[in-house]
Amino acid sequence: MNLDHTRTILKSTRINPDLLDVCLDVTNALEGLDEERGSFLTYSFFVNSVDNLKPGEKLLAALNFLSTFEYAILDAHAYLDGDRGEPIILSDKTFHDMAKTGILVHPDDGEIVKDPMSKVRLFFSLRSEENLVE
Amino acid sequence: MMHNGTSFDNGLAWMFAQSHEERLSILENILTGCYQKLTDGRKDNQKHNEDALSIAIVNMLQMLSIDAEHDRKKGGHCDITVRARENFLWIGEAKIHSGYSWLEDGFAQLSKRYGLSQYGRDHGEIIIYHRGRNSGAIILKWHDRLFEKHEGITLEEDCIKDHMFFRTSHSCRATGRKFFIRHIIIPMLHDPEK
Repeated sequence: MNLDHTRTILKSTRINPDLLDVCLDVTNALEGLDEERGSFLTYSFFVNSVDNLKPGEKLLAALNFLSTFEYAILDAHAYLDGDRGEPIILSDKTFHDMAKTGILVHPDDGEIVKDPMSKVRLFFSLRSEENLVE
Repeated sequence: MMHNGTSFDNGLAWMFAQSHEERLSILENILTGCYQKLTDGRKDNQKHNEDALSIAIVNMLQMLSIDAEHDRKKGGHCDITVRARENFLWIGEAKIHSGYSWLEDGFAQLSKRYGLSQYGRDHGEIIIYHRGRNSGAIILKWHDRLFEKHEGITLEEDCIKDHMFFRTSHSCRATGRKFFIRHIIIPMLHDPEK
């Protein structure tokens, strides 16, 4: 994925300069990722891949921005921590409903998950090239 | 992590919005919170001009990673624009209330600028910063004037009594689709009685 256009667009926005820097760093971390690798990008991936990242909320804010602005390059998703530590991908609708109601039905066994908030994690995927706005 | 009404929740809701209708609902909910902050901070923002008030709203939106911008135009009109993925666009025309001719201009701006109503780009807002008394009477008078002077406008929602806003729609000349405008007043009178 060529992200030169994204970098140009980001630099033309009027977002907070600190946020802009993190957005650019995240964009750089995405450069060269193939479709498979870019389909499951955890928060840890970004923490480890973005240089000079200072602790704080700016990374999540940057991921939010890059997932929602007009030229979004990421899609946001969520997974549930499985009992053996494996990620159980939640459909966007399931996560969406959980965010509204606080109730999560386990996708595999249909049981209500206790304290779902502590077990659900965000992850991101690269938007496919054909969906990118030029 | 979510659904507790915190700004963290609002940020996540924005991130996971599934449709333009949902984006709009989330945005209006967030804006209501922003306006409340202006009301609550009215003692400290009395000397702020329109730019400063609109910039304050934009800053609050940006803190939630919403792609919001403020544009200052001639004649004192201050625009707030919000853009999002899938071609979403929302615009607010804002002014400190000093008469109704501006409201007429603001309505004309939104009507003509968005003469091209499209999916996800069919909602706007007239934001009235009001430092005088009886904001409820002002928005009601604006409502009455609007319908007296303009044909082809439909009242979509009347929340003047409880929430100080009403919503109109009109038919876009170019596309025939409806364009919706929320007219909202923000009470900012600071007149402490001792």
